[in-house]
Amino acid sequence: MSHIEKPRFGIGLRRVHFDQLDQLGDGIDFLEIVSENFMRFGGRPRRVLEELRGRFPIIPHGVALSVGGPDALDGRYLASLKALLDWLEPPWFSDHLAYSSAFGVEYHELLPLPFTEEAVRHAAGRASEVQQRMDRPLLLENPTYYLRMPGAQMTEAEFIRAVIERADCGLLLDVNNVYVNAINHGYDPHAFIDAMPLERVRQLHIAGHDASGEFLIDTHGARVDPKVLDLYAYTLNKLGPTWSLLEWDHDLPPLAGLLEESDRVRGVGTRALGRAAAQEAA
Amino acid sequence: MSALADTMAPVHRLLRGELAAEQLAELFQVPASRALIYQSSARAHLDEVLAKNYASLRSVLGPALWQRICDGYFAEQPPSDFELNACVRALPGYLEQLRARGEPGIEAFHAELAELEWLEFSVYVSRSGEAAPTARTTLNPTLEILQTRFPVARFLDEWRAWEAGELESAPAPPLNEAPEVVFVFRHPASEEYAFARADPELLFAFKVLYDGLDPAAAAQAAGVETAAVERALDRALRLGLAVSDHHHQHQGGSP
Repeated sequence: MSHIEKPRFGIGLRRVHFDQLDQLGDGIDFLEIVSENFMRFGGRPRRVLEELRGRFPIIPHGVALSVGGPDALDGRYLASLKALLDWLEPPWFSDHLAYSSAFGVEYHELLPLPFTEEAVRHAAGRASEVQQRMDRPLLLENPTYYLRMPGAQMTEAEFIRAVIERADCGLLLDVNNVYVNAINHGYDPHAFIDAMPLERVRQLHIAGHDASGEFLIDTHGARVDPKVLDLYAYTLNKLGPTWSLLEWDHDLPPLAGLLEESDRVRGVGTRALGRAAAQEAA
Repeated sequence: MSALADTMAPVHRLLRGELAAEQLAELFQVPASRALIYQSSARAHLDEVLAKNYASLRSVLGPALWQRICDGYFAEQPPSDFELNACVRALPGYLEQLRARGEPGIEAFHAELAELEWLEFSVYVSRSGEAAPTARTTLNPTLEILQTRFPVARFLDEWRAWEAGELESAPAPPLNEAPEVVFVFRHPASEEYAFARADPELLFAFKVLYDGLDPAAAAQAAGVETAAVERALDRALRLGLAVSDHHHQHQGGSP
């Protein structure tokens, strides 16, 4: 079970909502930003963040660390990230257990790593180094993947656990990603959750996906699927109180709509935690 | 090369458009549709950010030529910055290269128009505006100055007015040289980008502020009435080319 006493619920801060932020109230406990959207920028994005950072914990969530990438870690990137972290002073920061650049090219896309011992050593070593250089806890997120890279020597769950434990970092467990991967690759999402190093989970992600094609796509562009909410409740039941973040990046509704969806997540989470507490008491 | 890099190499070729999704699918024994999603998505990121940062240029060029330029830019200018916007900084220079190569449809003013649009984005996110406000009137710290051979600022003003339905016909492309100086800056109150074509009064205000002269000293140096200096400075303030503590006090409020 998690060691925090109170669950927290948050949403992603997105530019299209900058004019609506006076609607943020008691229903939101924290905000998450895409690190790269704020690392170098001044102007309105920076001023908005300056005004919000006194009201909410703000967690930077990156997409370009490329922790599994073959090129050397980008010193300019790490310097910009460190400056952002020193300014925001978040309890942790996060990125993905994936790679997003290789051979000198930035893809701006999260690519899967092969589930191999070499990839574990490589990604864990770099995650450990980044965590030390940033001087605060790093959480790595389980990403969605549509391609199974060749040469696998372990399962996806074993791979994630091995990297997280060897890097001695935290896990940002994305419940929607677990569900999408489970459907796309044919495994039981509950068994996958059971196989995660839950004692290292500090934050959950939950989001919508697109189920209209031949396989599920993690779009962050819709309401959360009821089956994902069920899996979220299952996860919280095992984890106990933690931080939960609703991701919505495409086809964004007005802020009021996002807050409504966040309330739905909060309701599911609160009920799941209530059941867990009752079970424990019994 | 390590086994890890060996595995990543064909994915790299897929994302760079050098390998078809079907070829990677065969190599990795996966469905081609799943390889295609990565290939399409990596390409779409670049196309979308080009369209966002050069929206007017895109509409001026038209869809067919714009697509050719995007294709060429993707192939010849691989994204190398973690920040996606920064990956399209090189478009103005790339347009110059295309014109030098004789690419049909690319005119000299297109590169300058692209440069102006890039500066709009650049000042919007500039960190220079974080300097502490002063009681004096000063130049806007985000100010960038663009000197063009063609009257692209005038054209861009008119083009946007036409697109907004404020003009009945599209302005003629600025094919003849008529040099302009353009002030590009982030407006201190709206925090949006703005530009102003330089004229003698604005250039005078710029010089007064750049040299840090007070109105009386500037009037004496230029041999004009102090009121003329003050008019020029007031106009610069109204436009946002200049800032003062008064303006900074009015740009706050809830985000």
